[in-house]
Amino acid sequence: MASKSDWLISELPALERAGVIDAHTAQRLRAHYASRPAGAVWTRWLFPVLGALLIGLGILLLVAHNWDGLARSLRVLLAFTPLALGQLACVFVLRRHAASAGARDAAAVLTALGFAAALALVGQIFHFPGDLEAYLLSCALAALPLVYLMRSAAVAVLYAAALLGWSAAVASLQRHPLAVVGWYTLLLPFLLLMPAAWRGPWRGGLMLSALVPLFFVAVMLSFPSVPRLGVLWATAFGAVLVWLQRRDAASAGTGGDDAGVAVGIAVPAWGYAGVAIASLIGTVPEIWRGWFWYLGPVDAVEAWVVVAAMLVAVFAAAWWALRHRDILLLTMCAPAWVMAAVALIDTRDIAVGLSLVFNLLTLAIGLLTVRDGVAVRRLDRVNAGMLVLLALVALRFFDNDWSFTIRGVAFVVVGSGFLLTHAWLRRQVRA
Amino acid sequence: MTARWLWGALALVFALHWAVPVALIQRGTATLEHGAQYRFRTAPVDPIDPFRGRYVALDFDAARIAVAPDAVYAEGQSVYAPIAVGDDGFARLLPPQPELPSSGDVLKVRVLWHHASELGVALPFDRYYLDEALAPEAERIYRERNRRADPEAGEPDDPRRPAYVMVRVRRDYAVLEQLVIDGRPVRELIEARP
Repeated sequence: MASKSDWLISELPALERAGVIDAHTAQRLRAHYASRPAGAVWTRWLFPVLGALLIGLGILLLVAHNWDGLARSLRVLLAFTPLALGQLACVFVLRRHAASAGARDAAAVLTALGFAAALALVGQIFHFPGDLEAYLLSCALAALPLVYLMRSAAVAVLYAAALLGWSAAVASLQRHPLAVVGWYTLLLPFLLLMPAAWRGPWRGGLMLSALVPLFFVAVMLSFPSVPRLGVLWATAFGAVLVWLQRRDAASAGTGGDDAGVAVGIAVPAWGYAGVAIASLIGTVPEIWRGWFWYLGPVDAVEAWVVVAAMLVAVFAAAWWALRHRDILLLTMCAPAWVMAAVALIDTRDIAVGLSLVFNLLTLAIGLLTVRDGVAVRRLDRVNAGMLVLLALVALRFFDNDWSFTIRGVAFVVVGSGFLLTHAWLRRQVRA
Repeated sequence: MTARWLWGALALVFALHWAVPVALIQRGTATLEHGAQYRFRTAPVDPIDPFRGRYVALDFDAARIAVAPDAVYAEGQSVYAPIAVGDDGFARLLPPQPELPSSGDVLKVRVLWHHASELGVALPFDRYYLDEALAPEAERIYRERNRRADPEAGEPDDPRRPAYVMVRVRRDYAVLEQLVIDGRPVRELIEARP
């Protein structure tokens, strides 16, 4: 398949004939794209990183085998070999001034995995005591400096993944949401102050696609087992992610279009999903009849501090939405507020009313997302809005005592309506 | 040109990467050389640890400690259990304390459960690593030698043989030294099999 630049070059004669550009501009464009290295950008980054990752994992598996036939000193030497190789690769890459991001990532990944292998193997060779959470946290902290020194987005993801594992391992015994948030916060300077190190359509997109859910799940795991707290966290976090995208798009002047702006597509996609799913959960009355708070702020201080901080961010998002007349964002903030407002009360008597409120909110979110997609001519956003509406309709059918025949006919009718509406919207977006 | 501070920081990080496992080795070998030796009764099973290959998972009689009925322990809490040696020569743990005692060997254990006057804890040594081919064999030998007597099959005597681990402890740091089944190190037993 031809790349975008190939397509542009092929269009130049037609643009020249139509008078859109002059011959000089066409020539400059040809010269510009001819000077760019061949091959898609993502392949130049992805393959070295995947290669390093596979080599690292392969070495990890190979050395995980107990070499009983070897002397202990030789086994120790082998345990440190991947780490030494990774460090040498880092030095080699940094000495090459024109080293690509892929090479930096590959060397840093190899070093981080080399440390993890060395630590695990030393413990294995000597039968040292150790627990999984201490091991994962050690690996994460050893990887963190490489994120900054090697400017490595791939190691940032490894760091976040190790923290998720640590959070899961610790959660079975002790829960510390503030510690989880604190460790993830150490990545913020990389995201905020070193954008050149990670931004890019593929590299940045892949990194954010991974970082956002890793952080979300790690925090969720650190919460007490109270379902409503998790849903509140999901909707508040989702609203803030959507805000980041819309603020970024507004400052970039793209009118709500997220292509090419800093947060990319991954961040708002997770945000929309978080708010929509949490809001859909709120539409089921049983949620408000059965899921009570067993742990108030006094019983789960850290979890509440994290949720409260996110609610403050939701308030800031709503304030921004009001100032910018962003009705969609304002509506997406609402589920978090409603859930927070009823968080500490017995909702059994108002369960139906609450589910009605969430039905209305979900409907509004779906419709406004469709409208927003049409406004910025983004078919994926139109589809996302329609998906929310479809999920809402499907849920309503499932929690009613209607017969299969009536539900079947209703599904066919609503489905046909969706298809027709989608066809009409598709024309609108492309018009 | 790469800044000088970057090289300095990188050298520091690389040194730390080496220092952590090297410090572990130093502490562990010092414990193996100078630590007091204890024997803990065990019952192994054989899982797979994706990070570290195969090992024999160890469960201990000493992991269930008799405590005062009114004692308070929180699940997940790390506590220090003094080690005592019984008349049978095997080690057992005394009721744990929240702080490190001023003298004597202790194990740093984590509270798993607390029911009436019994406390369940996780000991710091809970796995014995073996070659991936040897670990299932060790497990099989253990089961073979640790089954209960079947009187209906004409086995009046209890065929069980003791299994234990030898552990070196230096104050509050413990390193597993050897897994012993029926009086012989498990590697020796496996190698002696046809």
